[in-house]
Amino acid sequence: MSLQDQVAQLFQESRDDIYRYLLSLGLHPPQAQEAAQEVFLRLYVTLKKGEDIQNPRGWIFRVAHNLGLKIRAKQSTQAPFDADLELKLRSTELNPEQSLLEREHNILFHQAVQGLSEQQRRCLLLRLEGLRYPEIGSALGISASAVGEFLRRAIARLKKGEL
Amino acid sequence: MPHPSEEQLLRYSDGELPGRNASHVHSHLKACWQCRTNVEEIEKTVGACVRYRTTVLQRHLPAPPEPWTDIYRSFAEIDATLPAPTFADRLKQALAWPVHNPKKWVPVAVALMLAWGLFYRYRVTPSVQAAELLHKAILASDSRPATPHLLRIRTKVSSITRRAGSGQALASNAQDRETLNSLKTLFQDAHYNWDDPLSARSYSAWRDQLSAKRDQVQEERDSYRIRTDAGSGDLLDASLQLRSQDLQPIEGRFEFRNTDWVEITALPEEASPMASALPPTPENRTAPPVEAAPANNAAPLLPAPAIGDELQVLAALHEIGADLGDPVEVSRNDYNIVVSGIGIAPERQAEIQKAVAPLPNVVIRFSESAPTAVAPQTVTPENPAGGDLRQLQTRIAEQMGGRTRYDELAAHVLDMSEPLMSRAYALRRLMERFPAQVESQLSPQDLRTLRRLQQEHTAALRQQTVELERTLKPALKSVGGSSRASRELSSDSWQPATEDLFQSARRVEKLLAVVFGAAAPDDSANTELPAQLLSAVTDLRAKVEAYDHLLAKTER
Repeated sequence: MSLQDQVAQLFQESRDDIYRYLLSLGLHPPQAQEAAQEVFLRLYVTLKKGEDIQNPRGWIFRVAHNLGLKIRAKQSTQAPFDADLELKLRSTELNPEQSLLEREHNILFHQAVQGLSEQQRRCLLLRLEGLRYPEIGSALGISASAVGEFLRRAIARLKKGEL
Repeated sequence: MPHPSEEQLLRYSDGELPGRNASHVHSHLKACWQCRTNVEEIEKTVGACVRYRTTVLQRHLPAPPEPWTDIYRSFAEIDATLPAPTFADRLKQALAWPVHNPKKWVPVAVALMLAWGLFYRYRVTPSVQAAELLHKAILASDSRPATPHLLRIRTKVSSITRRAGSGQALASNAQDRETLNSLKTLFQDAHYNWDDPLSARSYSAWRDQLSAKRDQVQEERDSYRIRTDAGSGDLLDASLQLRSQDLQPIEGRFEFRNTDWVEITALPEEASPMASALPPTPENRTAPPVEAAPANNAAPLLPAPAIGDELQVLAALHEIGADLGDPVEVSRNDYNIVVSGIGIAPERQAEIQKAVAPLPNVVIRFSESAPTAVAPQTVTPENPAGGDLRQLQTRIAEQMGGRTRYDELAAHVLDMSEPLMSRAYALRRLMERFPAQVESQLSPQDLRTLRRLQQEHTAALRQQTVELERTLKPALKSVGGSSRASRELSSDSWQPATEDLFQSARRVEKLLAVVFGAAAPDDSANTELPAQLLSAVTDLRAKVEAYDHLLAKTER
């Protein structure tokens, strides 16, 4: 498989995950889509220059995180993107198959996720994307043991939220 | 074996525990129902998270607004740009008339326009603005009934209250009278009207007679501040603050060639009986400065700024990196948060002003000169290494393949120690500013801001330490350096832990300077220096990791 094919395959598999992660950093959908594409092109350029990237998926999340924060810093006067998920979760039209109880559960869990600290939420979202602790630490600029602590706290708080 | 902690159980479930620990936990789980239940609960929450990703995030976050582009086309564009152009190509590009390619000349034209705009804004417009503002302030003052007002005059050594138009201090004593007489001489020599020093007319008259002046006009929350750099004369620099509402002067600052400075503040009229009743005690004369006190006797006094407001200012300065080595200080009094800086370049001053402009109650003071002379360096510029140390350096150089390589390494690691120490100092300043008692007064939001600042400094420090260790290890191991087991942080509380971390960073800095020839060694045996340095760096790295973990634990 050529280098182009390898990156294109990763692009196919992971672009939506990267895009959603960028939305979670507060980027608006058009910026997030543009930035997501940029991340894969940077990966291509880096690999083409002969650099060895052990875990390309971890790498693209790290680059996406840094790029996302940079874009947000430049547009600090613009309010961060808010998907208003709670409103969507309450809608019976958008969730016709869900019972009232399921909808309530989803809303409560979403509120609990929103109640996490920024670092706890980022660690959780990156872990959900399959990143290991050192990769998350590398993306967020913290140690792997701090990642473990943030995740423990996140899980403990979500566990409370589930009850 | 005691029960594993919750964190260990999570790490075990995630396959993140090192082999030996993992097998301990594995054996423990076989035997312990309670811990097995805990792991099941963790897994249950993890399952809920996974469902949240699929049923909430993937389903309800908006889809990308456009179809994804053909990435192969972008690859082709990159491939076309990556090969290095030949010299002839570059020459041709450089000589090509840019008008044919708007992508080239438009940015140049925009940059030129921007440069002109900045020049106009900072050099031309301020003079016009200053003259206009002063003119309007004079007209406004003429339209007001002439009422006597009180002035507080503060110098390096005294603080005196007097009435405008009067040369006498309220409740004056001989010392105050003497001070006022010397100030009068100082102002008169500078051709500045001492009878009414805090007025737009006096300021304007002084400013008009300057031949080479430079003005700055700064819009603050409820006021304008005009600052004039005289360029020559006895009065080198003056500023006048005008209240936006009625252009009444509320504060002036005057810096003289002989390094004296005088601050004059308009006092609220309500303060006058009290001020006049104050006995001329030393406490009264050396009262804390009133920095841009809200002088409007009609307007209510603003509440005193809180520690949280100060933190916001620190965070704003942090955003532009002004907490890393810029000579900027932040202090808080009953009225304002004062950001002061010494010897800062005008461009940087503008950045700092812009960063703190949206925040309330902030007063900015920049001064041109350094306050005190720098103590003479005791370190000899030549290599101060003794015979043993020179031998050591020669050995490192030999192992590295020559003196040039050694010099490069020395320059590189000494360069690395500077940003590393600036992070350590930044953390230490936060510790000094937010001892436990002060920290407990912070709101949850302010506390998050404080943690964010700490975490960002720690992340940078961690990266710098790892990089330093990676750079040093190959060179020092070859001459017998080995890292020893490192110590733990001295405390579970972040304030003492910060000091501990700082001292570790200082030790690394000192040892770097000794081993790489920028400072004289102390009494240690030089043969042990590589091992000491490597151990110090390893120790610092371990402490940064532990500190990072500690901060994560203190997050609420």
